[in-house]
Amino acid sequence: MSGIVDPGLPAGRSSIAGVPGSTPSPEPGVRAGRRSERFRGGTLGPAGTVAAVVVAVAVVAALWPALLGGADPLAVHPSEALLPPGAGHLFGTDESGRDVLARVVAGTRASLLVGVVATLVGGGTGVVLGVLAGLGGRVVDAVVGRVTEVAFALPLLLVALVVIAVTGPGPVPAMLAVGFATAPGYARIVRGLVRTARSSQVVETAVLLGRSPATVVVRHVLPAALWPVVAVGTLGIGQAVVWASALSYLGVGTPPPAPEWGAMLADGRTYLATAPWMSTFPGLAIVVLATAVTVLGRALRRAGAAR
Amino acid sequence: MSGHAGALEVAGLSVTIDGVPVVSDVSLGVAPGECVALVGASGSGKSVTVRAALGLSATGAGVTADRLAVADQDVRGLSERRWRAVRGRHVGYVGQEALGALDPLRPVGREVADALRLHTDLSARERVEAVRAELEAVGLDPALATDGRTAGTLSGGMRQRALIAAATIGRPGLLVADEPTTALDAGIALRVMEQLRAAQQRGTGLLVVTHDLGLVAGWADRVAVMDAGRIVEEGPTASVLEAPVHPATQALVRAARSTPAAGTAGPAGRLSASSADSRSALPVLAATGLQRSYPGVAAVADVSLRVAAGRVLGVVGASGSGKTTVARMLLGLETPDAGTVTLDREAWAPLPERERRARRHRMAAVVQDPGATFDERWDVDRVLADALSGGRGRRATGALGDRVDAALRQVDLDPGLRTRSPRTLSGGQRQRLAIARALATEPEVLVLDEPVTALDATVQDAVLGLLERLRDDTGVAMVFVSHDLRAVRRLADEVLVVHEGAVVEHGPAEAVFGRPEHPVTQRLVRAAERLAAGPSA
Repeated sequence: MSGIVDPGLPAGRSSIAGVPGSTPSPEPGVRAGRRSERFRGGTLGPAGTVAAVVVAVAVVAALWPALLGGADPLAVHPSEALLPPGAGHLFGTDESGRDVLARVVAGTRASLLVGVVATLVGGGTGVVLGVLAGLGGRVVDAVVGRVTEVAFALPLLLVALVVIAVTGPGPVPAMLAVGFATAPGYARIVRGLVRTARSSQVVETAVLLGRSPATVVVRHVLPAALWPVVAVGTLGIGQAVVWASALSYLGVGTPPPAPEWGAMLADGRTYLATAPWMSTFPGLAIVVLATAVTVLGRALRRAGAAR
Repeated sequence: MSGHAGALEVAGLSVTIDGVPVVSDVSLGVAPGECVALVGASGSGKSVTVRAALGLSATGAGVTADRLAVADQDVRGLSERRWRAVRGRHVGYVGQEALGALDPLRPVGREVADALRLHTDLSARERVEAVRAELEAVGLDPALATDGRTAGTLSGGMRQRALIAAATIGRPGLLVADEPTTALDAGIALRVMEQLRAAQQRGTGLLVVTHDLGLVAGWADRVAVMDAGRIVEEGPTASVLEAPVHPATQALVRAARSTPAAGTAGPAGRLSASSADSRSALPVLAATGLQRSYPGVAAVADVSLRVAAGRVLGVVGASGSGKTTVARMLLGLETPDAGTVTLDREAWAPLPERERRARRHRMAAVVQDPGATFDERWDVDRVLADALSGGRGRRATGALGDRVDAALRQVDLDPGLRTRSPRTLSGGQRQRLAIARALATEPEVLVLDEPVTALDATVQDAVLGLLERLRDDTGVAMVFVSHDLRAVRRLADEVLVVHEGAVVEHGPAEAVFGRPEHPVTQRLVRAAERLAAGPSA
């Protein structure tokens, strides 16, 4: 599993990611058995636990915003415009007098949804392309390979904007755009895993037992390729949140007045000198959620690998 | 061993890994110019001991010792930085995996020169001269020093020798060799041992770690036997071998004896009695004129063979002789460029896989490293349920469960292992499981490619015994491919000697091993004898 790079960003752009730690394999024999027992039910570690709490809060905010936000995120009170953070409004108010806290909380749903759906779209597309390239003949592999390489060479945001240019702006196109833009990364990982699994001795043994190609693919090749993708996908959610916010910031994602972090950042831009809280809190929310999801994904993967 | 200055002195060494004691209270000494063998089954702690003595313990390991000295220098608690000054200059290390130990992208000459570059003030010119001399001493082309060839272009045996050159060029006081010959055929193994011997004669203390007591017999001055993390027996080689006291030593000695070295009588009695009918018996598997070449290399030039039910055909040859390619063509994993394979007189290869699939259950395979052949997501239960039910069963319940238990018992495995993952089994257990899986379809032919090479001597003995019993019980025909003459001699009725892709000798096992005619066979047999006997000097 080590050596897999986050697919969310083109190579060299990965902000949060390092190379996943490759733990030295235990000595054969004596150690293996005891080790697995010790690590059964492996924990998330301190960072992972904090991240899990943050993600849990975000999920609650997405499912039941009223519990955390209180006020109506869309209610306009011109008399209370641009109030700084204080007793009545913890995060202050925006130019229309809307409560920033309520809007940040309400925006969680859009961000989480777009993160998860975009990752599913990207992972799904990537798996299909990767399996095609990995199992198909030389021509299919070459075509898929060149297409993904071209997509890789373009900045992710540019690919997403091309998709938006075709579909038109909106929350659903934003999900699709981020999804398709991240797909090449997944495709490349899946292709490699499928190729490795295909030439493995496990598959050779299945052939020797007389299994048909379809059986071999379903039982040995796909499971070997899919689980690592799920692990990488959990890391991809955080990245997708950031990219979806970027699209909204540019005004091609979730349209106003619906609360969305990226759009709120853009709105606050004009008032950055006089009312910095308008941009600061949604910006913080993006960073915190993306970081928490990524750290949690990594911790889950480590705990899973230890088992 | 205590008292005078040694190349290596260890006293009261204990190692724990994640809090679990793995090595307890080990004391060991190697004097300059002495060869000491550290022997034990896998998991006995010998590698952990050696790695601790070289400062290579894994993270999570706790090492304590009353004394731990390399070349009279206390190395307890040395920082990694200080260790680097010790390794290469005072200690040389030759690992088992020469393939992995050399950088595939760096010229071998530079790899060998590393110890000189790091630890001496020699000029570049002097280094090249020293490397040339060292390469020549280990029997490699001195031109390797400067011609930029990388490890990838060398054979396994050449790499192992290059590694020895790299370990000895700094003239260390101590040379540690971990299973230096296990993966090598007798001819190369002999040369490797002779080179280690040469270093020893120059005054280097030699510590050989191995599971093969047979190898140790001729070469080591003293033997220390490890079992369950402790040294249970120690003494001069001859006396330990003649009168082993501890049960673990006795088991190792038995294993070394029961696969007799060439020259002593093989288990030919049963075989010669029945060898007459083997000539009349119809072959269940036959191959004619097999050829296969890869770009630039002719791996197999011309091999024909036949094997009848209940018979074992040994295919022997040095590494790189094309044995494995023959096995893969017999299995239909590799398509021959020319020639045919027939199974029970029906065409088998070359054929599209589709046309073989329905008959796949009639032929099975066991390979050197079964670990890689098990899907890591499957437990033992599913592996056997799948094999026994023709791919239909996932969980072994009811009648299928009984068959899984029976299959495990057939290879002397405890049915209690059913819920385990094959990864958590020992090497011997894994190979038994692989054999059980291979026999699950009740095949008529079993192709075994180096089935015991990666196993401990004691485990080898048990697995070979199992194969003998299964051959007699099931009447399966076997093709036994190996460079290990002892294993082949024990099992095979007939032997095929392969050299550079062609059969150079073929006949009943006792004739081929007893009176080898072709020079290649003679060389193999002689190398095996000399390897067992020790240095000729």
